[in-house]
Parts: sequence; C-alpha cells; structure tokens
Amino acid sequence: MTGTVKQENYSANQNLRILWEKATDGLKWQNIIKSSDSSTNLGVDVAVINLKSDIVEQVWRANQILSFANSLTPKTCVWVVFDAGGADNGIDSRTCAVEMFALLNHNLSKEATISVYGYGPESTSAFTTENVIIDAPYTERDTPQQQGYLIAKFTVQQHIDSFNLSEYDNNIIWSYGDPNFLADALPTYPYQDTINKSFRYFMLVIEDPKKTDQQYIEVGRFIGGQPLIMIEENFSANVEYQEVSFKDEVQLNGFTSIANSRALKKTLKLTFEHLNSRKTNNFTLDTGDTRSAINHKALRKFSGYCRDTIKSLVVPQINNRYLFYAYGKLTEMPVEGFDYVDEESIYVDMTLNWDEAR
Amino acid sequence: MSYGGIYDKRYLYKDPSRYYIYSYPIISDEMLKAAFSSTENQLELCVTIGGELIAENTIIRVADRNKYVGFKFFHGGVDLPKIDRKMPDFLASNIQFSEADIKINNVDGRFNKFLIGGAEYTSFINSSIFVYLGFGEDVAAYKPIYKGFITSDAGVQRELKTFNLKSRDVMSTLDTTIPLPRISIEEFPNAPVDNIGKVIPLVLGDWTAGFKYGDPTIDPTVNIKPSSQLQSVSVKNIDESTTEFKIKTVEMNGKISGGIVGYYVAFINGVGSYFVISVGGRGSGPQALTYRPSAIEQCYIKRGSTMMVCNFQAQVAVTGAAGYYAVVVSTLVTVDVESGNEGTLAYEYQSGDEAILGVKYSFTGANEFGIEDSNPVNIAEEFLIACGRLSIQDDLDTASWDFYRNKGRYTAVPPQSKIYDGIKMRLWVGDEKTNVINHTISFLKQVRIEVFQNNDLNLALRSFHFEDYPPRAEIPIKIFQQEIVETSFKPELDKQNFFNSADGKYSFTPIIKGSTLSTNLWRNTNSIEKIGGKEISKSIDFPDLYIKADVDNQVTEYIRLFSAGFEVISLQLGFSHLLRDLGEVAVLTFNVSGVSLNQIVCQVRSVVIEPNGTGVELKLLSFGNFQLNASDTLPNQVRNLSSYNQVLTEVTNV
Repeated sequence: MTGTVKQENYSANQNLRILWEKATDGLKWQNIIKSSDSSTNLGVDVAVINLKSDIVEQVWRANQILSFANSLTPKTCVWVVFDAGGADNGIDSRTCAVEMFALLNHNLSKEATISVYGYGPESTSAFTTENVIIDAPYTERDTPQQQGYLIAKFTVQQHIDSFNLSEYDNNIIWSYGDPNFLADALPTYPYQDTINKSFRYFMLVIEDPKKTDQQYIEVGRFIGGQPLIMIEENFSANVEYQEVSFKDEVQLNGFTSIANSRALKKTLKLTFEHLNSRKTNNFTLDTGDTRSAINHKALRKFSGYCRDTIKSLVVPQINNRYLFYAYGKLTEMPVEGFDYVDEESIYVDMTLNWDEAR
Repeated sequence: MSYGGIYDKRYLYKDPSRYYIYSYPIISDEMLKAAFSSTENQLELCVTIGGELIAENTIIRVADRNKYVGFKFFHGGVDLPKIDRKMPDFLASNIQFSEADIKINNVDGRFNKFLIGGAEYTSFINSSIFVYLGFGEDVAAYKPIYKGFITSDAGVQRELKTFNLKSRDVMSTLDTTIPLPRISIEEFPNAPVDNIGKVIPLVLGDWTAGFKYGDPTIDPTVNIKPSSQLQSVSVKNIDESTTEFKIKTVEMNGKISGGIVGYYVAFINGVGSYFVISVGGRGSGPQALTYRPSAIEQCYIKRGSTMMVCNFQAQVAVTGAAGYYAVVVSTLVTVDVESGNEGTLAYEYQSGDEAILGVKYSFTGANEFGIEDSNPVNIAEEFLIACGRLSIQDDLDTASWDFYRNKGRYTAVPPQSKIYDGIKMRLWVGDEKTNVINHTISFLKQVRIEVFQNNDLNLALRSFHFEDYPPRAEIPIKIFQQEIVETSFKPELDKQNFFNSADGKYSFTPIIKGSTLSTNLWRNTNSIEKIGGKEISKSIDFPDLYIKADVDNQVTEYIRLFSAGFEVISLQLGFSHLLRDLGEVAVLTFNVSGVSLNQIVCQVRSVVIEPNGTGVELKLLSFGNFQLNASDTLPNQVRNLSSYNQVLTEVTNV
C-alpha cells in the first residue's frame, strides 16, 4: 500500500520516537546469558542468539516449558535473559532503562502474553533464574536477581484493541505509558511511578496458551532501550510511507502477468523543517519527569552512529504506532539545509528516509 | 501465496487465533496449477554446497532470500543460473549435461572462514552443489533440480565482494572415456610391445551369431616357417620345396560378420598361448558381477589377412591378477602336402597375431546364456554400471528401465518394439576413445530408445515407439496460449532431421573394426512424391544389431518418423509447467498472428528453469504433421508426408 499521510496536530507525548540505542543488545556480543532454550534446543540455526540479528527472518524458535517453579505462578512459557550492562576488558558495567521495546517477526497468537522484567543494579552478578521470583510483593532483598521488577505485561489482544494492530501484523511495539497489566491481583510496583528505572538485566517472558507442546514460539528480533524522543519540535505534516512488494514478474499472452512474490518491506520518509539547532526544548512526561533536548543534535547523534548501515526502529506517532513505522536503515546520510538567523536561531531543514529492504 | 484455498501463511482469515499451520503440500503439477490461477507464487530456490538440504555436513546454505528449511537457515544473497536439461539430438549420440555457475555474495565476509586464509578453509573442488526448488519450510516440499560438483578447472573464483563456484552435473562423470583396464607389463611381463596398452574389452551378448568363415569345403593352406620346435613335428607336414609347414586356413575377407578378438599376452609351457579376450566382470562387494562366457566353438589365429585354423581350449581360461578371460591356443593345424592328412604344429606368436573367436557372454540370471543376455536394455544398463560406475538404486530411473527391458514380455507389442525376447543386441567395447554416455545413447538409439536425465536427476529412458504415445485425447498435459510468455513463441522447421529413404549398416565386428552387413534401401514414396520427387537418403548405422529383420524394422520406423517433417518450437511458459520433464508429451494450442496450432501433440526436448521461479523455457518437437496413432486425425491427412503406419518400399535391386 502506498500513500501520503497527513498529521495535523502532535502533542508533546506523541512526538517522534527512534529506538537506535538498543540497550538489550548489551555491551558484548554474548550478552544473552540464559534462556528456556537450553533444554528444548530446536537447532543451531534457530538459537536464541538470533534475537540479536537484524536479519529479522533469522529467528529464535523455542518450545514452551514450565518455568519459575519458585514463583507464585509458575508459567509454561519461553524466557530469555539479557545482560544489558555487563562488559569485558575492564570496562565498568552499567544499568540501562527500557522505555520502548519491540518484538519483530513473531508468530504469537492474540492470546499470548508478553512480559519484561528488570533485575538488579550494575553490580549484580551470578544471575540464576532458579531463584527468580516473579509476580510477588516487592521487598528489599540481599540478592537483587531474586526479585524481578515488572516493566511491562500485556497481551497481543490488548494491542489489537488499543492501537488498531492488525491481527496479521507480526510485529509488536511497546512504549512506556502503554496499558501495562492484566486485570488480576498484582501489586503496584514502585516502577510504575518512576521513569528511568535502570537495571543490569532484563528478562523477556512469552506465554502463548494457543501453542501446543510441539508448536514453537518464534521471534525474529527483540530490541529494547531508551528511544530518542523529539521534544516540542517534530517532523512535518507530510509523512510518506510505502510497503514495497519485491517480486519477479513476467507478462503472459492474454494480458496477464504472473509473479514470484519475495518480500514486503516498508519505507518511511520524514521531513523536518525549521529545527532550531541552538534551542534546548523541555517537556514533562505523564509521570512528571522532565526531559530536555536539542532535537537536531539528537538526530545528528542518531545518524552519526547508525549512519546508513545500522537499523533503527522509527515510530513517528506513538498512539498510532502501527499506522506507519519501520525497522530499517537510512537510505542515505541526511542532507541538512541551514538557515542562519542569529546566534540563537540557526534553523535546519532535513529529510530522513528509512528502508527495511537495505 | 494462495492455491485452491489450502494453506497460506499470510491470510489465515479462517483462523482468528493466528495458529499457523507449518506444513505445505509437495510441489506438484496440481499445486502449481492452483497457484497459477492466482497468478502468484512464492517459490524459492535454495543452494547447498558440500551436502544436501539439511544434512549436517553441508558447508554453505544460501537461497534467493533469507529463509529456513527444516530449521536450517539459508542466507539470501546468491545469483542462480538457469538450470537446463536437454534430450540428445535425434540421430546424434552426444548429450550435454548442464553446468551451473553460482555467485555467492560475501560482502560481509560471512564465508571468509571457508576461503583461503580462513579457519575452516576448504578448496571446494569436487564438493557437491545441490539446487532445490520449493516453498515454505518443510524439507519434503523441496525438489532437487540440479546436482553437481565443483570442477577442478577454475571451479572457485574469488572477488572482493563475491565468490563464484563453477560446477558440472554429476552425470557428467559419464562424459568420459571407458575406464577399462589395459594390458600392462606389470601384469603380463611377456606380452609383446605392440599389445602393451591395448584395452581389455568389455564383451556382452552373443558373439557366435554371424561368426562366419569361408566355406569349410574349401581348404586353402598357407605356408609358414616355424622356429626350433620343428624337431617334434612329423616331416610329412613339411613342404619340402620351401622347408615350411602348410597350415590349414579359412577364407576371411568379405565373409566375417561376427566374432571377437583376443590379444596375445603370455605363453605357458605345456599349456599354450594366452590371448586375452575380455574383462571377467565388474565391481567389488555388492556391486560385483562375474560375466560367464560359454564354451568356445570356433577360434582362429588371424595373421595379416590370413585366418589359420588352430587347436584351442574350449573352456575359456582366466588370466592375470584381475581375472581376465582368455582363449588358450596350443597348436596350429597343418596339412600334409601329399596325403592331405592333418597334423599339428606348436603355435608360435608372431607380431600382429590376433585370436578371433565366437563366444556368448551371459551376465544375468542363470549360468547359461539366455534371453535376458541379448536384451538391449540389460546390456546398456550393465555397460553403464561397469564403465560408468553407476548405482542402479541411486542413479537410474528404475521404472523406465524396467518398463523397457520387459517390453513385450507381458503384453503384445509390434516386433519392431519387442525388447524382451525380441530384438537382440550385443556389445563389444575395446576402443580407448569410446565415451561412456555417448556410447550408451548410440546403443539404445538403435532400438529407438532415448537416454536422458529426468526431473528426478536420474538417467531414464523414453522411446520413439509410436505405440507408447497415447491418443491426443488421453494426454493429460495441456499448454494453453494464456500460459505462454508474450513474444516468446518461436517455431522453426527442423531441416536437419529430414530424410525419406534410408538403409541400415549393421553387425559390427572388432575383427575388421566396422559394420559388415547392410540392408536394402527403404523408401517412403509418399513423402518423396509430395516434395516434388526429391529423395533425401541417409545411411543409418546399427552396429550392435546383427539380425537383418531387426534392422529392417528399425530402419523403416526411422523413415516413417523422419520423413514427416517437423517443427521445433521454443517458448517460455509460466510456472504452472515448472515440472515438465524431458520426453513428456503435451497438447499445445496457440493462435497468434501467422501461427495456428490447435491441439497439436508435442514432445518436450529441452527444459530450462528460470532461477527467479517465474517459469520455464521449453523446446518442443511438434507432431503437427505426423499421425502418431490410429485415433489421432490430422487436419491435412491426405497431404501429410508420413504417419505411424506409412507404407514403405524396399528396393531390392539398385
């Protein structure tokens, strides 16, 4: 489908998000420290490490197993733990925040539940899920890995209902501020009231009751982190979005053609006009937290790191996130047009094009 | 992809819970037709190097897109060649096996570990390459369309971002000279120099038939001067005028039409002179088979153009470490100059001497020579196994080989097509230049059977026996105009394969290294008259047939076929015909501009699969002018040049 979408008004909460700093990918390649896969390994080519591959067709597949025996509610699920903060070679470890995450190219049913937990400060080590207790009242413990802080928990059906997700779209994007919890007797976590709750480890848990024992759960890519959020300024009204059909086609006699369909990939073009490269903008989130940014500088940081070679998740309008978004690379480095007015007002025009097929 | 509303991963509107069904039907004509009706497919091509689809020993898996098959990941990033297979030309005996050059994208260095300097370096030479066509993830939904091996000659070429692998079809191993043993000094230290290096022949079938020599009542003799063995011989056998022995001979020139040769290799005191005549069998282990020669009834020593009568062991001997068969000659038969009585003279080899003899070789079933040992298909198969190192189970399409070897066994067929206990053939292979596959093709062409590589990549058989072709109404494959890619339809007259009279040369013998007999000339007078009286004549060689009636039958059938005039049609079809196989017949309808073909029977002679999965290029032989069987009528019946039952004329005096 192709077309030009016009957006009239953007509130501060709805501004452009670009998730390019993927905290869950960690500081080292082998940062997936444990998963439910170890006992149900379906093969080297579908190993859990594929969750970090930007080739979204290269997937993780795992059968669900009964897990978290020590919890109040042991689950039949798949799970994987990311060490977002551990590093090698004498680099200090860190904690990270996950305000947005995405599961791309999944095969989950509407009834599937997705949960993400955060664990421990940067010094947390020797993580073992045997001691993990989830869905229990929070208390201070000597071993932070024993208590997971629930960051997000929702069903696919909720996204279908809340965000107009097509039930045949196989990508899920969660953002801080989304409806989080199922309607059951769960306690209120402190995290609900704060932002930038940073953790060393993150655990993704997926339960899909519609899958039988032999039907695996599949996820092509999992990314999570703190996205770039444009403040006050935003992209221009005209957004160009297209789903490109890749195919080989021949024309037959009889005025018909036949084709071999290969892939459907998104492209997204955002235009930025009059960004003030000198002005720091502030906005307050729903939680009361305040953020400041020079938007142009933030975009430069993004394009300077990702260039046209690394993929990023761009969600222009978070309330209508599935209307137009893309996980792709920039087609080229942006051309910036400067309009110098005075020292405090240097305006920039630029265009960013994403293409999932690159 | 939707096909008949069965499985479709994208549009599961019947299943709101999004429960995916992960199995796809096997690729088949029916499935392709259903997909064609929605004008779209998602066929995928995969390439594996070093092993098969999901085998653990496979080194590289690439495809035309990122995908999984059987939980194995295939990286996108390969340029695939067209995959083509052809039938050999009608009257030629050469076959071209396909080649495939595959370019693999390595811009990210993914495959560096296999290239020079890499931790898992492999030269790739002789590694297998498989190309598969299918869809989805089920292994069973993939069909191999090419099996090859990477050549040693420029097989791997590397560039900055890609590397190229050049391969040839596995069947091209048959495109080689016969791997038969040679006479060597190591095995036969006393063999004469001019016999060293000669191929030890492979002999099958009945070589006593047609082994004719001169009228036995004529008793010519020849004088020879032996050496010191003279003392033991009766002086009555000496021609005193010349001090030479008179040796009994038979006439050879112009009379030989059978028999095989033996090459001198050794002399054993008290036994005689050994002339090796053939290999003793083939293979080892489960592939081993011993050939069983009959007793030798006739044997002569050929010296120049003279054929000397000799005494020999009737039982074939075994010689050499590998167990070759040999005839043992002890003495020559002498003739007394006065009385005409016969005597003997110890045989002594002279340079150029050859033994010539008649013998039958059985290699099937019971110990004695039987029906199956003259069976053309059995002989061809045995030759392929012995010289081509083929495995029956893995390399031959057993269904078609069994069908033809038993043709005429259980149901009546015309004599020209009766393979079982009907047409008799024999094989002698001893020329070092003989090519295995070309010789097999030319062997079976003599009974109008074609050898080709089928869709399952095995060697299969199809015939030009007209009774094997169904009536048009019963042919299931239809090609419609709407399935043909626009502007791809190109008809062309087959000018090469047209003749309306012919004779047949037959009965090869290695004694004179040629076919010695000939049929009369046969004519299709109807065809000659309809082209203004122009007779176009051909001489067809049937070296391995030795019975005149069999040759007459084949010559007349060939004339019937090739005096009709054919068109060869090149066209491109959509993917509904991706599984078309060589030799298949189809009914074609095409009416555009100056071409009007309505339900014409055609045979597939060449298949080229497009690597992008959109379709296939075919070359079709159109029988638009030839009535294949009684129930098919042609629009211009009375004007046609020939038909399956065309009456031919035998010219008995030239």
